[in-house]
Amino acid sequence: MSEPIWNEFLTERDKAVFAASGYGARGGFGKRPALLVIDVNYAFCGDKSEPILESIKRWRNSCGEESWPAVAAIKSLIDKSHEKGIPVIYTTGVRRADNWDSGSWSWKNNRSSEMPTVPVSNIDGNQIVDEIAPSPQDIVIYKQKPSGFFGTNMTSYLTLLGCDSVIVTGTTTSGCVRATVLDAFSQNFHVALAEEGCFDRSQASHAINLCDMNAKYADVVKTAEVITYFDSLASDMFDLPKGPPAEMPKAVNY
Amino acid sequence: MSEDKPRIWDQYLTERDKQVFKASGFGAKGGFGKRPALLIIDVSYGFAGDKPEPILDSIKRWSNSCGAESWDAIAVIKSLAETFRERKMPVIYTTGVTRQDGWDIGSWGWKNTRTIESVPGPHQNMDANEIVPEIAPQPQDIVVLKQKPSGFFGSNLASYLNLLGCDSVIVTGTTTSGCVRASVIDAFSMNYRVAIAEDGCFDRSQASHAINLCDMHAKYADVMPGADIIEWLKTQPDDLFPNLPKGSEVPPRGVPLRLVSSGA
Repeated sequence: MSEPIWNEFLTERDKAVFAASGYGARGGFGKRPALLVIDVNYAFCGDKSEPILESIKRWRNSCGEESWPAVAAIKSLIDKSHEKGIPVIYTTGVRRADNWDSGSWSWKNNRSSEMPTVPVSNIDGNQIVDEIAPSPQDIVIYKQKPSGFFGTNMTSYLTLLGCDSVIVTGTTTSGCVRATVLDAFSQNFHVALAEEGCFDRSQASHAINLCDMNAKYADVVKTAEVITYFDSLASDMFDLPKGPPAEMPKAVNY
Repeated sequence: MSEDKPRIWDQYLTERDKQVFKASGFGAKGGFGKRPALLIIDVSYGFAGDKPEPILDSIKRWSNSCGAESWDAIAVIKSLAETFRERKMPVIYTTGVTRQDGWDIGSWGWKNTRTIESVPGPHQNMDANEIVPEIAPQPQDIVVLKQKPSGFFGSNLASYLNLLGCDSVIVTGTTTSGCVRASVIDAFSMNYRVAIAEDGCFDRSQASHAINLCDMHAKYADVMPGADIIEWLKTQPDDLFPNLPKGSEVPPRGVPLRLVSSGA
């Protein structure tokens, strides 16, 4: 790997410790991957590309303009997955209209009451951005907490598909991506992150969370390497859904 | 963040990061619950080494060691544990457990070339999973054995918190960026209030320690000095948990380390 993005944030001692303690080895891809696209919705991207400090005036969770190059990288992975018949699993949030179930989310952010009602827009913050809208054969998982596994059927779906590994993309690197990677690791799935397909509102958090995950839980690799790997796999290995994907559960959300 | 006092993570953040955290509303004070448990995550020889020494020396023998900083944190954890016991509040430890043949290491073996060193079959006749004697579990304490980063994953931790009627956890231990963080995320996801004693946490990486505290303080937990937590605990009733374990005797080496490790 070229100079990793996190090196500028590490101390010299940190670099020596990581090298000596054996972390950051290459874990390797599995044989039957699923592509995970975590929370790439309007709430985290904003409704257009603009500097983050502008975007968060309207979308408090926005990661600003860096979201959109990541969306393009994710799109290339989704297109390749569709071509090869590799499962694509999206996650996004779901919340009661009265916000009762926000629970712990409301304790640490003094703007959390802005969810799910979004000012100056009719767009649902939880809607996945149009550029990578789910296709009929894709799977969408609605969740309430950081990890895509927490309180969801994610593990059951991966078992049903016979997956041994996940390629993770989306946002935020330090939040829901990290929580999902952690649970995938704990369940003994092989994990890789497509680096350009992950984004965060904090530059330092983005870099150091990639560092932590690469050290212990996942291979942080370039998107092009994942594409080459997908190309190397046999086509149509998976019994994918025929589509269309389930609608957002309205009884819960409205 | 919504506060102005200097924090350990400031030096690692970009100027834009500081503005973004402030504007996006993160880092508000979550507040303590009413019925806390103390969690002491993985403060074992494997992570602290067997004595205070510079980390680059310590990791020669203990691949997971966090070096000298571990022992400063252990002193803080000791004070917190003593205060919890004084208030008759629950103290819960976690530590690792592995079969002797290493089969159940699973994903841990994929990213670290030295993982096999942490399997029982002790170098130096010491078990890396033994909790350091400075804070050895007492009879009324609870020890949860685990195999993955989070204290909740594949364990009875959530059931024990329900049994005790806890609404919140105070988290300490190691590593800040590893098992502490994983346990904090799961506690958050289960709607427990979470506070972290920042000087009771430690990590092998300075940058990871600081930024993980930053992330957790932004979203999931109140990060504060152990002394502030002790001060609050002393204002709390001491009769909230009549159903703490009675305890029998202090186990000879603290924990039933060989619970599943025989491989038989």
